Amino acid sequence: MPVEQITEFAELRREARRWLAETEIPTVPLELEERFNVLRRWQRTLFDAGWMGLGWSREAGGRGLTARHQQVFSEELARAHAPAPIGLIGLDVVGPSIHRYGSPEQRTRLLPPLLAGEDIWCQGFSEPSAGSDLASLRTRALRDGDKYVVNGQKVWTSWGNQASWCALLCRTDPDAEPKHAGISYLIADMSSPGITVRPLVQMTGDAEFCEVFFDNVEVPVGNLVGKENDGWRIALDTLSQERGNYAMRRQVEIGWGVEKTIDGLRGTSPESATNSRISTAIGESHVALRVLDAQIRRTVQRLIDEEGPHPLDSIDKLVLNDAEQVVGRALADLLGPFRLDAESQPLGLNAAQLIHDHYFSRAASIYGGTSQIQRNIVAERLLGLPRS
Amino acid sequence: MMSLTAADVDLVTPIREFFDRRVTSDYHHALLSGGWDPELMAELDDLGWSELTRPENRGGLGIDLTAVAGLIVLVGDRLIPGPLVEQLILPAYLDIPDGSLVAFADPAVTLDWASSIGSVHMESGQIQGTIELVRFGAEADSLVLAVDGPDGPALLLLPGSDPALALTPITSSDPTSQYVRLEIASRTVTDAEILATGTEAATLLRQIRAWFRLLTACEISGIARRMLEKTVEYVAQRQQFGKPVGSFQAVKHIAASMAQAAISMEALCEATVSDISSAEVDFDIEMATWTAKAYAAGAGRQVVEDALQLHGGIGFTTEYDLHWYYRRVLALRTWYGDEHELHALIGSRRLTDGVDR
Repeated sequence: MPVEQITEFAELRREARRWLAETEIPTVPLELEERFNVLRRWQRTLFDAGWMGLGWSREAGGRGLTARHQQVFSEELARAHAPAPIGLIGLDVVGPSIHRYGSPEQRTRLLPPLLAGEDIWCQGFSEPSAGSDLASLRTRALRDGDKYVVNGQKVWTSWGNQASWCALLCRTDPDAEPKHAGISYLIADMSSPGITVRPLVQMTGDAEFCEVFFDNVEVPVGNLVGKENDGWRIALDTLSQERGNYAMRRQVEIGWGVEKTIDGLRGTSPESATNSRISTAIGESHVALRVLDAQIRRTVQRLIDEEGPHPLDSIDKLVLNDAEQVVGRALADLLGPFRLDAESQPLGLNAAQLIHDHYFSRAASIYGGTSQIQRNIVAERLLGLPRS
Repeated sequence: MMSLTAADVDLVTPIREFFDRRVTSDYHHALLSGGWDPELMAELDDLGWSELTRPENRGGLGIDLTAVAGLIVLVGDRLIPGPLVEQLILPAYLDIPDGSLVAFADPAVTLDWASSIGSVHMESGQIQGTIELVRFGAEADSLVLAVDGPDGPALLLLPGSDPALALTPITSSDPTSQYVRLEIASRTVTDAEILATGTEAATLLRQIRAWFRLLTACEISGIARRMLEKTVEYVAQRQQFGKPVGSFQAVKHIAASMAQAAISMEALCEATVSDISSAEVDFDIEMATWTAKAYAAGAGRQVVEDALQLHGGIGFTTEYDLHWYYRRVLALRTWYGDEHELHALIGSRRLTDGVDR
């Protein structure tokens, strides 16, 4: 990396540290509604101070810098034990695809309120019979003049009940062969008539994961991203973003959890440093996070080079999955039988939070294409092994 | 491969070409069956191996250790026997005579077995003690010895052939290194033999050990990459049930896990090297190298075990060369701490002093 770039990042880092030191860092409650409100306000604070969308263009409300700048800021958030903003799906998964493939009008209309935390986004990809086999999705969109009429059902639509917008994959050509050639990428207004959202409560206790029903929902043709029947390419880009930007954000969140746990142990149980079971769990978590950090640095370089989807994205997803699950399990195991009492704080550990995070970590190997699907991709497309 | 800067490529390319030319398959097999070849080490030295990192004011090229990590990845990839890591780290930090082969007698290769590995004590200019495992202790021209002195640690430089050093060779399971037990009944140390004492020695030891840890992780990373390549090649051609075994999903998933481990290990080594060399962040080098080594120890073993599994019966024979890589990784993972030892150490440091890398 050239010297002037290092200086530029060092300058951004100093600026971020200064700002974070002067800014009140919110405490994040576990209860979902309160958590959402606190984090939305936090995102607004970050946006107003110019810390959102560092790598996005100015027309989209960003600062026209690079993904590496965004990563530097994320690292500083983690260092300051500050939470990540709330709009993960919009910011890190869907937003970058709209930034890349959307029309100029879509970018200027949709992206600034997304960055500001005014609009929460959800991702209408998975269906009851189309999870990892996404190309077999059945939700139909029929063109009718200047609108599409959508019918079908989505599931595991995270934050569907909070979202203003949905990035919706629909079948626009039922006869297309192969199946993925008949899919389009639409943006649906979640307040449209005909949309019903049914939150499903997950084992974490959060009703994050929603079913969304579409009954003759009208979506203006102007909300088509890219061309009709060309949604698959954009969806792959979205999923690849999920493996890059999203991983970066999760790194901040997982790191935040580890720091809070260390703070709690230090404050309440200073003897924990000499307890090998406790120090081993913290050490394992530390190593897993550093592995994730190192992996993300390479991903960020690929994002900067605009390489687009790559089989290495699947390695990133597997590394993220391991970091989530190693940390989630190691820290929750420190609760011993106290995990049976979510209100307890043994040794200064926050049982409710650790149990929540442990359960959530189990989702990491399922969402965005299961670990088994990722391993197939790695074996066939990265290692070049023959198809089954 | 580890993404190399232009400077690294300049260093690595000639050495790779030298290995390509010099370490033929037959010769490699002979080497790994018999230990190592001082001749090969001497030829490497003629190419400037131990001059690379020696500071310019002591006649070397003064190349930063961060720039030679790629060389050690190559050493792992090619499984080259000999005190190659020693010859890069020790001359960089210590004033060691030009061209001499050096071993490092350091009880700190383990913490968990510290009470068994022994130590050497120095008092009133006399040293005595035992260290159970010293890599290349019998072959080296000189021995750098880490001792406990009255004012903390000290570093000595002793001639390897000194009769007061009783060196007992060990039949080792590491195919690329030889080990001895070192015993010193009593020996007088001259001032000229003392390289450093007190805080200076403590600082040097911290740095030297950090580099042994990191370069060991890099070597494991090179082996992991090689094992992945060999395994993919093998499962793509080996047929069972009328198909290449690499087309079976059960086999593919193990290969994909190997790729994940090898690639993430390489990324961590690269990030650690870059953090150490970068002026962008100041952080705890010791902690970063514990972390890299902890991960390499665990992930490295996983990769070689998976390689053995996917090679089936042939991999288990000594006619095939997998066992050498496997045994080398098992040796390297113990050297300066495996994941069990280091996780506890890292956690304990995190719980006491808030360093976050």
